[in-house]
Amino acid sequence: MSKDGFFARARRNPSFLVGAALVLLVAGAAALSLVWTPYPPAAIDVPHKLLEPSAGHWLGTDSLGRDVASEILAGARISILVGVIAVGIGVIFGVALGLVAASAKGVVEDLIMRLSDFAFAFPALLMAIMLTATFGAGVVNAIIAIGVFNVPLFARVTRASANAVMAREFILAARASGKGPVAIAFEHVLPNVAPVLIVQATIQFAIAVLAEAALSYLGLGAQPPQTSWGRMLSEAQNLLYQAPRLAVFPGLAIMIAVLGLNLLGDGLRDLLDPRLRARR
Amino acid sequence: MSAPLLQLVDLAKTYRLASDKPFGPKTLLRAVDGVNLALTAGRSFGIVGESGSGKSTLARCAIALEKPSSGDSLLMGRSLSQASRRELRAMRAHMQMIFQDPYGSLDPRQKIAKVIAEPLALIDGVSRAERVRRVAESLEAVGLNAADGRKYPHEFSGGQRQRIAIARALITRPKLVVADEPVSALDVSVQAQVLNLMADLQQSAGVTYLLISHDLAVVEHICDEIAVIYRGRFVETGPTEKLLAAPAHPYTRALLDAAPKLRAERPQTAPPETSAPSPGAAAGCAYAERCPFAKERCRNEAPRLEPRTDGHRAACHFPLN
Repeated sequence: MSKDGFFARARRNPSFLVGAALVLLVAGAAALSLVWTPYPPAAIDVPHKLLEPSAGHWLGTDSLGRDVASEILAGARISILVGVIAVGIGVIFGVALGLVAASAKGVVEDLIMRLSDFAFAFPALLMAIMLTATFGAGVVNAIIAIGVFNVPLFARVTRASANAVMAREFILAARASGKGPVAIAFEHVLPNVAPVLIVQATIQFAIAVLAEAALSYLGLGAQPPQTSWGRMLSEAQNLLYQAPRLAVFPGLAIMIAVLGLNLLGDGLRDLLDPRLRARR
Repeated sequence: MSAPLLQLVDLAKTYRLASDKPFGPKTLLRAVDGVNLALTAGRSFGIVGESGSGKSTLARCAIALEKPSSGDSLLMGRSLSQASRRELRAMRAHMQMIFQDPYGSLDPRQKIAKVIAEPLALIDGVSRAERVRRVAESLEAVGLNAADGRKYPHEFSGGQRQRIAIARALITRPKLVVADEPVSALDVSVQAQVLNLMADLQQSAGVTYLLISHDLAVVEHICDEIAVIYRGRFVETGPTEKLLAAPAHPYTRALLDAAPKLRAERPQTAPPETSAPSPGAAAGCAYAERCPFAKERCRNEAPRLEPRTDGHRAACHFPLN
């Protein structure tokens, strides 16, 4: 990394740059909404409902007179919250399981991997719908439902990369110097699989944002007065002919977040892949 | 006399190969087949053989990186297979290893200082300051700068990396260092430097090597004693000069003749075929099928290592010389 630093290479990587800019835009919106929004995002003002965009209301108002711009800003908060926690759940449990599987080998590995295959056999969104329908709608349950399905995914990715790392000679060298399997997993395997996990986490973040929007659209995620892009889409559906812009703006917001995260993931994959690094 | 530094007693390692047919019988590959060896402190020992002869497996079993199928390995008289996990960990400070590929044996995500300090960090009662001091000492001992500890492995050349691997192996001041093909991944010009370094350290650091190589010249440079291994068995052992001057086993002869020389002499025997040894053991001498001198007896009766003169032993019914 010395000859050509990470940031020097990052500056020449358009997908990383565009992705990072879009993600920062969404993160900035979420941060801004904590301290300031043009109007309180949940404030109902029926006399001013369905206004066209204007200087007073940049993106207009919805059927209950809520300011759309304020709702979009506040919605970014939920999306990021869901992404961070759902991916966090997946990373913490999935990486642990994957490392255990790769270190233990044998029956333990088979058991963990067959269980995650089993979990994979169900469509994730369908299961998330089932879980939220069973345990009640709401953001917290939506986060857990999305997070649970990240666990087998990260377990698989971790195990596959960890197995490749563990075949390398420095693992044998560590064993020869007397290091135990747990220390080897944390000090040698984990740092070497981290780049793969970072890329995967970025992509899963995008999927989580999309999943939250889908659950909220179905009424299983954020509940009023909580603002979420998915919930906004769901409400806009009834007025699709009268006020299509009500669906367009949250749709654009989702698109920006997901596109940004995917581009960021692509860019990071190129930047963190040592084989590509050597070639450039 | 005290116990040898390292002693191998009937060490054997058998691998079960996957069968061609599902549920078919598994073939057994005897990678190491009953090896006895006693290594005296101060007299480095070289093991020479072609690829697939079981020399790397032997090295790994010798320091308990792999579990031998039978037999035992004793370090300073203490059995490694009987040792508890804790005891084994403590014993590892006395036996380190240098690996073949300096590009694979250093963790690319750790700085050199951390790579080198790893074996030392596992020993109880070494303070942080002491560790830092010994890393610097160790780096200088192999001809690098103490400041190099702040760099990453990819900033070094192959030869430098192997020096780092040597510094790492020596940091616990081990008595035994097992070196598995330590120079075969390096350029020829760098090989000599690394070998000279290893030879020097033998004196200054008081280390004894168990050196594994396919190259007789490499082993000759460092080792006082040599064993030639063929299909998991020693076919000839003895003091270096004696064995190289008057090889008794036709396989040793063939290895010597196969080594490229500047002034080409006519090979005395046909060069060894390059076919990899196949699994499964025949009744007779394992080398019989390739041996130009093989007779009926060789195919029916396996020869044992018989003493010749002054510690020189060979396993051949019809030894040369």
